[in-house]
Amino acid sequence: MVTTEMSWRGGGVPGLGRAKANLESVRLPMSRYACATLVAVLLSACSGIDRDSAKALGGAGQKATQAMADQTALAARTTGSLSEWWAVRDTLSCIHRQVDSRPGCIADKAATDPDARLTAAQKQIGEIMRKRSDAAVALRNAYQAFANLATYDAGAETEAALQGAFGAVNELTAAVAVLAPGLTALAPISSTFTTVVSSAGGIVASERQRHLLLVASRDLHRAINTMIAALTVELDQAAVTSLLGMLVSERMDVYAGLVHSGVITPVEALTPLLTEIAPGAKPSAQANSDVVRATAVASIKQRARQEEAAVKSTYEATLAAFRALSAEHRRLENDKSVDVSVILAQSQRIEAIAKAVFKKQEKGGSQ
Amino acid sequence: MSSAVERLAVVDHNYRQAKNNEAADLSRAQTEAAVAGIMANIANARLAYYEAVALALTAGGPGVEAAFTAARDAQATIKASREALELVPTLLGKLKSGTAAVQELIAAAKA
Repeated sequence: MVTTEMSWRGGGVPGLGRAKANLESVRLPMSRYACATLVAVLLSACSGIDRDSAKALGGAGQKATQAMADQTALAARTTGSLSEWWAVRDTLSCIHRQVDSRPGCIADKAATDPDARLTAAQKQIGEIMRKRSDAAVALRNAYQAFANLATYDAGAETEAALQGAFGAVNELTAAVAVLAPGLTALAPISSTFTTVVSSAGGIVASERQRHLLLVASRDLHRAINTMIAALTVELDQAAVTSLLGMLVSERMDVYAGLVHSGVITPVEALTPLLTEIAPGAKPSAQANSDVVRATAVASIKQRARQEEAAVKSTYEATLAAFRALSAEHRRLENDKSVDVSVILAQSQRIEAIAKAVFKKQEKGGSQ
Repeated sequence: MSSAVERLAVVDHNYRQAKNNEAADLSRAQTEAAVAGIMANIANARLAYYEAVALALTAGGPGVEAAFTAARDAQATIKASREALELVPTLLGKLKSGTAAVQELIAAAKA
C-alpha cells in the first residue's frame, strides 16, 4: 500500500495542480486496484506450486506424522501400564523361591506399595511422550489442511491448523532445547500464513490458492525441519530409543513370567516359532515339561531382542521420513516434481512395526 | 570425559543385567536373605533406570566423571563374578555395589 501511494504522490510536476487535485479524489480506489494488480502480477511470477503435487505431499505428510503420533502415543500408554506389569512380574518371580518360602514372598509383594519416586519418573516420561504425540498429531492436522487447501479454499482451516502445529512443535522443542543449549535450530518458530492471507485479497482465486499453498508449504517445511533438529539431539535420541526398547523388554518379562508360572502354556508361547518352522503342526499336549518351558522362555527372549531392535529402528525411520518430507517440500517450492515414495515406505514400516509389537498387547498380549 | 549418552547406557545395562539374570541368580541363592537381596537389587536398578530416562529427557546434567567410572567398573565386576560362578553372597555384594554406583551417578547428574 505504501509503495503504491508514494508513486501517485511522486508526480509533483509544476502547473499540474488541478489535475493532481482530480487525481487525489480517485487516489484511494485506484491505489487498491493497483495494489491488487501488482500482487496478482507478483504472485503469477513467483507461485509455481502444482496442486496435485501439493495434494500428494500433504497426504504423505499425514502418513509420516501419524506414524510418529501412533508410536509415541503407544509408548505413553505402555509407560502407564508399567505399574501393573511390575506388580505382576515381581509377584510371579516368587515362583523361583523355595516352596515353603513362597507364601511369605507373595505376602511381601502384596504389601509393597509402588515406590513414589518410580511413580513420579514414570508419570514424567508418560507426559513427555504424550507431548511428542500431541506435536505429531498437530502436524498431521496441518498436513491434512494443506491437502485440503490444494483441493478447495481451505485458507481459514489451514491457518488454524498451522497455528496449532507451530504451538505444539514449539512446546516439544522447548523441552528438547534444555538438552542441547545454544542449538539455534530449536529456537521457537512462527507461522507466516496469516499475514499472507490478509494481504492477498482481491487477486485471481486460482493464483491466490497457489500462492497460499506455497506459503503453507514453507511453514510446514520449517516445522518439519525443527522436528528433525529436535529428534536428532543425541541425548534425546538415546533416551527415547532406550525407552522404546525397554518397554518391549518389560512386556516380554511379564510374558516369560506367565509361562514360568504356568498361566500360559509353553506350547502356546512356542506357537509363533511353530508357525514359522512347522506350519500346520499339532503340538503335543504332553510336551509341557520343564525343558519345554525353558525352551519357550528362550524363544521369548530371542523374540524380545528382535522386537527391541525393530522398535528402536522406528526412531530412525521417523527421522528418514521427516528428512524426505523436508526434501520434497524444497522440490515443491522450487516447482519440481515431487516423489513421496520414500516418505510412504518409511511411514508404512513404522506402522507395521508398531502394529506388530505394540498393538498386540492392546489385543490382550497374544504373541 | 563421559557423555550423558554413555552414562544412560550404563544405567540401562545395569537394569537389564539385573532382570535378565534374575531367574539364574535366584536359582543359585541358598538363603532367604540372598533371595531378598537379589529382588531388592532389581527394584533399585529399575528405579535408577526410569529416573535416568526422565532426567535424560528433561535435563542434560553436568559431567559426573567419577560416578560414571565407578558405575561402569561395577558392571564389569558383576559380569566377571557371574562368569566365574562366584558364590551368591559375593555376587550379591557386587550387585548392590553396582546399583549403588548407578544411583550415585544419577544423583550426581541431578545436582
